[in-house]
Amino acid sequence: MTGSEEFGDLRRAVRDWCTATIPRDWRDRQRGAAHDQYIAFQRWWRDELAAAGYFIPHWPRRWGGVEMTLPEQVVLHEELARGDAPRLGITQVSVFNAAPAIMHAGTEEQQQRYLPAIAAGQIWCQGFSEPNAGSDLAGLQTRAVRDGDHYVVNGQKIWTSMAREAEQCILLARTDPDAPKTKGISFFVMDMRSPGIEVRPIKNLVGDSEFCELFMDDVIVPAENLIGAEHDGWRVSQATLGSERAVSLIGLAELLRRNGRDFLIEAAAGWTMADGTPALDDSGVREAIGGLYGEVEILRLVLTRMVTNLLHHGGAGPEASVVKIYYSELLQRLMKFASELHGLPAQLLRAGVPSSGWETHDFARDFIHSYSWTIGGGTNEIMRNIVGEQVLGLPREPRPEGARR
Amino acid sequence: MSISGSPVRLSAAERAELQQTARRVLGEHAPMDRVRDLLDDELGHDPALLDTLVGLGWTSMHLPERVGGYGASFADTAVVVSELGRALTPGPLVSTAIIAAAALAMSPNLDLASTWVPRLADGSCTATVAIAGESGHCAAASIGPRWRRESGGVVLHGIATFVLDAASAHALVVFARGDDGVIAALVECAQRGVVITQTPALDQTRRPASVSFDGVALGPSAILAEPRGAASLLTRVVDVGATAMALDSFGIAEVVVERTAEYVKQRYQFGRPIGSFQAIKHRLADAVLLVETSRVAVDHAAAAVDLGDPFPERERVIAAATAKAYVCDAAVKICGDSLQSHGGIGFTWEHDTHLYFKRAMLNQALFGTSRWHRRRVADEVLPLAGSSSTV
Repeated sequence: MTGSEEFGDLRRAVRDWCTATIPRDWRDRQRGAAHDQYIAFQRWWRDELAAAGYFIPHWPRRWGGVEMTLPEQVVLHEELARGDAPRLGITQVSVFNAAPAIMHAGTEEQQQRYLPAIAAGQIWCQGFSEPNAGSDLAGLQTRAVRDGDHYVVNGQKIWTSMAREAEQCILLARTDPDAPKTKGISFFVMDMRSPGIEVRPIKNLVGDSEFCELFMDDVIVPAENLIGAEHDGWRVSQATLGSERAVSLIGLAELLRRNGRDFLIEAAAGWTMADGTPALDDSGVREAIGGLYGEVEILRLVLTRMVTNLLHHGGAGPEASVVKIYYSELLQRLMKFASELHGLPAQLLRAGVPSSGWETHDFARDFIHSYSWTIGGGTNEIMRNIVGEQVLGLPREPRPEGARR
Repeated sequence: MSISGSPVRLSAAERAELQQTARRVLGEHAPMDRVRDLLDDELGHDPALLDTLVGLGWTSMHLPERVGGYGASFADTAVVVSELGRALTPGPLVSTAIIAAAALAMSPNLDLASTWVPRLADGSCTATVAIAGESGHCAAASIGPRWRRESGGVVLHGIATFVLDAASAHALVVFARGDDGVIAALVECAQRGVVITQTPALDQTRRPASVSFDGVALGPSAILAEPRGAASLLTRVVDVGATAMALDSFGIAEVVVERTAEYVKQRYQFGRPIGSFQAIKHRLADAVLLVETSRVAVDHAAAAVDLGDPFPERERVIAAATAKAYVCDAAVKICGDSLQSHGGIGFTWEHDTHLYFKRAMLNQALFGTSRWHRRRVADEVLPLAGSSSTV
């Protein structure tokens, strides 16, 4: 693992910057914040990161990054977590999903059109899932029909985070209804100000309304917004699940370590067992925490290994699925344990703290919220299919008669 | 610390080559039918194989140059240890060259270290470590043998259990406890009062024994560590032993996943390969996840327990104890799930599943249970609780 002595200059610089920049009471001030207060806070935080060069540090200089190496990024994320930095959520799609696809499959002209805006902090959303295309994403039914120099889009998307704030949307739509499922999909950039788009927020189970439904009624998307070849959108979308996503996981892993595990240890020092003895004196509790402690260390190790492999051999591959399963289920195990150990006090309803990611310090709520990670981004069941089929070469499940391939 | 100089690390390519060589050599010299032949053999291993492995440098590469080794890193030898687990290789390579040699090399008694480590490295002698008492635990409080001072030296009494390969060893690194704390001593097996009795384990690829010490008298020169140094030597030896068990289990886990995947691809029921059923596929996906997370855990532990350049104590304990608990548990889970996926055929003596399963279970129990190792991690990262301290 990165020794804490490595990259001393960067480490000190980030640490000093955190001290000078992050308000110590930001959690208190954000607790119970309304949606627009949350968005305003996020925009402020994004601009601070950008001013320091920490917003898209891994990007090429050409597009406004500083080409930070992987170990440097690990240090950056370690120090941000140590400094109790808020989690930047509003630009997840633009930086980690849209930009990689555009860099990978976009034309020079498209790169020049979109990347500077993303670098400047533009918010994007992702129109992939549909009510009838969740795990079976390739079964999506939103249609894009070519009409001269543009496409006409009709359909419905769901679970689209930040759709209300987003200026652009990366959209998967079917362009060839007769081709096999994955062969007839195209990847577009859709301007969210286009006429015919309706956005309806969905309140999630912890009470936030970050994700939305997206309805498209004869929306005009210029043909020049097609990323990659027509009908090749599935491949383009898969390429975005690459090393960039892994890099973003480094930050999540650090947050789990600091704000999940280490905070649990800190908080549990004040908890007691039924007989009034300290919870941390209980041998079962100690054993469980000892196990979780090690498993969080393993997360850092496996993530570092994966990203290193990606950098050396390129391509994300199925390792990303392994890491997604491990991270999400470790997060869930840890929050479940903490919530159960804390017992009734963890059940109190408290206003949430947006910008604190999946570790708000309210363990029962965080446990429930953790399911967004085992469901979202491809359910863990789908991930297990991918691991079984692509790593071990196990045969696919036969499809029922008449099912579309 | 008795060792100086930093280890010479192999490059990634060299390490991969070492692994391939190990796999090939063990496949040629100790294939599965040979492993099976030795299950009921009294010695339990093939001395010629040990000579071959000595000749390849595998008993000496990680040992300090000053005591006859090559000064490579522990992480390099780790590759070989995993291959031994993967091949279910019987024999004392790990108990003598990895664990006992490390104990000697790390001991403050430089005379004994420089006498014995070269003998273990060149295979002319073998040695093994004796710690646990009847309970099988290897925490300081559970050490089997007892010591007391007598006429300028010490006398050992009591029993050590699950001493690997003791019956074929020339010497024992014995940890003993007494009123003034723990000591470590070198005892030659031929010494008066030493009685070694094999205690066959469910895992018949291994040869554990119990060793009774009936008034074994030792002069001061046989003491490897006095109470002040022996406690820390014990934790270092436990960390090395625990890491070795985790490496062996990693090799088992990896090969069992490969073999199970092959089986479920060719076994048809209901007109399709059973590997196409999600009940089977998802369990194997979980096994892949355990193998990939175990891989980084053992690599990290192997770096942590390096003889020449170990991590600071806290990081070393966390790394070794985490690997021991996590990886040994993972291997047992993977073996059990493999048995389940194989169905009836996996339940037969003829099928290899039980050989992997039994060895993985012994690894899990040797050098400290998973429970205890998790509590060791806790003791490093939580405030020490009087009632639940494991130290």
